[in-house]
Amino acid sequence: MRFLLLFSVSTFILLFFYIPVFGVLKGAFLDKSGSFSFGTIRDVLTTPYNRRVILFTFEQAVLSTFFAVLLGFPGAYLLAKVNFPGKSAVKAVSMIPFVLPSILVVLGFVIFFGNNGYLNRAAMIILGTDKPPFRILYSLKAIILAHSFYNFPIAMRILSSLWEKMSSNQQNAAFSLGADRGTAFFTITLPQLMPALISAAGIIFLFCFSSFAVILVLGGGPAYTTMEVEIYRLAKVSLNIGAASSLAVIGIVFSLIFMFLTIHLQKKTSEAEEMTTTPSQKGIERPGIFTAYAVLILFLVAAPILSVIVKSFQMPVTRAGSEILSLHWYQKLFLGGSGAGVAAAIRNSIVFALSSGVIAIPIGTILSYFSVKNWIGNRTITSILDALFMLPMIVSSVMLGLGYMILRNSFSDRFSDSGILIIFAHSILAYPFVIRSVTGVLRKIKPSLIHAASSMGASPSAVFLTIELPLIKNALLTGAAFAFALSMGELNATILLAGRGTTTIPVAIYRLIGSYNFYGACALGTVLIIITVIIFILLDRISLRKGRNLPWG
Amino acid sequence: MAVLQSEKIPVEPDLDNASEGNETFFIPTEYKTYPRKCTMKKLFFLAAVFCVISLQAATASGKDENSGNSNLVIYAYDSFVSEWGPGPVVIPLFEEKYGVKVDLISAGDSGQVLQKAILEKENPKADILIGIDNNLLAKALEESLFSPYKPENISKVQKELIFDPKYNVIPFDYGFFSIIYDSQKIKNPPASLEDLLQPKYAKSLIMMDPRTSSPGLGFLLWTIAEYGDNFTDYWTKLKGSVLTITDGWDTGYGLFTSGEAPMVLSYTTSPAYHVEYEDTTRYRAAVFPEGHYMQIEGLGIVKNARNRKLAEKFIEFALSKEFQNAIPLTNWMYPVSKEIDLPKSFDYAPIPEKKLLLPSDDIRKNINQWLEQWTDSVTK
Repeated sequence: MRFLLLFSVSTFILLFFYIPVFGVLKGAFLDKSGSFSFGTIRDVLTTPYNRRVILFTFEQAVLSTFFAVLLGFPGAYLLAKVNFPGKSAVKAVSMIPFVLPSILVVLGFVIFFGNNGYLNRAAMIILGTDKPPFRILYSLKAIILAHSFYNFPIAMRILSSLWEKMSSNQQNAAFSLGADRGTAFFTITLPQLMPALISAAGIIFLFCFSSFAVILVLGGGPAYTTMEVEIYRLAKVSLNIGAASSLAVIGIVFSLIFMFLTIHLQKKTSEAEEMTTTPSQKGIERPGIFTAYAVLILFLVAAPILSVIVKSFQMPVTRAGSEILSLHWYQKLFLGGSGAGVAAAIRNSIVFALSSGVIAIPIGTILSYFSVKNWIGNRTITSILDALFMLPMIVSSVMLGLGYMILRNSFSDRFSDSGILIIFAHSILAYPFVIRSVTGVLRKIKPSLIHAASSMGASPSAVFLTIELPLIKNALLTGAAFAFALSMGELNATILLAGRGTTTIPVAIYRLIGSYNFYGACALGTVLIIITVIIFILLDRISLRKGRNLPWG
Repeated sequence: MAVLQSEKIPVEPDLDNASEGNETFFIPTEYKTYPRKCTMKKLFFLAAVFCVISLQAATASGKDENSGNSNLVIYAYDSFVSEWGPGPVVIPLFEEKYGVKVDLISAGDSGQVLQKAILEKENPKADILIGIDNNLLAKALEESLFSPYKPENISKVQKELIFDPKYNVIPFDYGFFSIIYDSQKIKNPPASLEDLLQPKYAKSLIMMDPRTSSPGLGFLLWTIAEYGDNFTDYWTKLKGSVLTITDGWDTGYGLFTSGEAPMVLSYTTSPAYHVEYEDTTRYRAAVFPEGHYMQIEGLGIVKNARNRKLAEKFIEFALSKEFQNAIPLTNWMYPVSKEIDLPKSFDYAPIPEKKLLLPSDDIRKNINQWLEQWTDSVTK
């Protein structure tokens, strides 16, 4: 039975992950005559433009990571060491990057920070000028701002979880020896925080390195293009699959290098530190700074998202820009001529998300069992297979989409236009999250519990249903919610695969932004926000109560 | 959130303590009743339901693709097919006239239309391609995608617009690229490419990427037509005036009309649109006496098309008065037919005196190098 399960799961992963990835490798390494060559990759690497794209990808990722960690630092301190009202709400907010689709972040940023956005319009009225004072969009600034906002909660969460457990003995010793706060921070606290810092920076860097929607919309032009966006352009617009594949392969090589670097650095720094299980927490010490930080965060997090909701209920009376409140855009979306497309997008998104959840949950669960229970009885082989099963986490979704694009020519139109490929792609992207979520809990179930049940005559399926399933239930639900959220917000692979009948909400929003129907995009965005909030509350109920079971970190 | 978090749920098994406790194992009270098969059944049922739903949705969305062979299949670019484009106006006319069905399929922009047809060359699904312009012509001919047809109605077409003398591709409309400006923000519009470099226009112009958009490509060719090999110098200088370079015309023009910048790359006909639908002359085309680069759009019959006879009828139809009359106000281009009177709003769509056009062959030979030089000069 377990081998049948493992076999079917591996077959699925082989077919819908490894074969598409192999297609990309083929595109990168096979020349026109079909023989192996580094020619395409060399061509890509020797083009000055491509080199600049690669360089820019690094530049923006490094800067974004720096600012995201910087922005997350005070928050981590507050969460770890200070008691303040609304703390649990702040903790909940740190979930944002994992459930909020990036296209919504992008939309919110354009509407709030654009030359004609809320911020500039308010400033223009206050300052009495007709030139927008904050020129943020269409530049590196916009990309970094959006990335920092999107990712600082990760830094906050990871840093605070270590900071909380750090004992203040060494710090107190430093104080008693006459060190001031700054010296104590840099010589004691910071080195102690290093493992968390590296892990946070590593994750954020990888996220920014492969960021797509933010760059595609906020960057503007070839000067602000990253590898992911260039892969998309090459594959979807120029139809230069060879160059797209080569760039994708170069990207994955870099990603793998960073992964190993992060892990290596983490190991090096995580020496046994003195940890405490009774965290000491104080009240707010400097209300001024505290308030300033809180306002800044609120401004960064809430303003763009609220702008989306506000804008969706507005309608311009004239082109000059005065707006009235109206449900016009919702009527247009759901009843108007182009409404059919939007209704279909919402239906597609929900069907895709549910289906990929249904596929990802059993796959993730089976693979967790395979790993934790050592099904094949050989630790080395298990860990190698484990790594192979987790690979979809590292491969960028644009690359997966590219692989599917290459593959789709070998299917009938009926199949490849049907959306099943999108469901499979989403399932592949989602199941590693299920594995991580379930594995953590599964490891904690005491074997004696299961032995006891078996010795009392329970069959393996009875053991699973009556003991294990109830115990991993929450982890499963967490995984399911993540899979659902991931599929709901997925743009990178979907945009490469979506055809006429298979548009999803994020793709529709991207197209509405593209044709500059921001009101319509906001109305649809609000629908997506509502769905996201529901997932968020669900997650909060299931697993955030105790701050565990989270499928990352 | 705070309320949710403090909520106590009594049956939640505490796994942390379970793993830390020594030999004691626990059985959560709620699960003592034994066994509960219905959980499994429910799961299977749910899974089955979702599979059925998704399969249905999947087949439903896939089915309109495979209609019968007798329909005339036309691939066209998005804006031709869209709600406001010529498609919904002219296609029903043709269907009615000949009592046939037409499958009008949008395949992205005109470049993607061409790519799709090239990919299907061995086993063509389309009978007609719409949107092969003077820039794409050479590539289409190189792939020998079309089989020529000289329509009887060709006599109605202005001679200088017949851009393929072998009649593989027949012109149906044409236009000129132009800088459109917001007259409320710019009083003295630029009158040449050189004018655009002035410091007063810093960050004032929205451009499109020539790799992804036809106005973008048109403007690049315009600069090449004017500056020759030195076009990269021009672009290096132009960078200061450019606010952003968008992937598509839609995005760029939208940015412009919502006030993000006072100038945008578009067509000379754009002001006519604002006159026609918004009754405003606020947006105007900057006329450059040195000339404007031109775009001629054509359509052609695919080689080995399944419905050759019907396709020929469609070509004749495309040059007829009915089709040509729809062009100005739906495709926002000038009709090729001499028989058409332009609508009143086209008074604001000046036809430039000097027309610039690069030979299609030159474009095909050099385009990749030009694009590389371009990306290089704008990213430096």
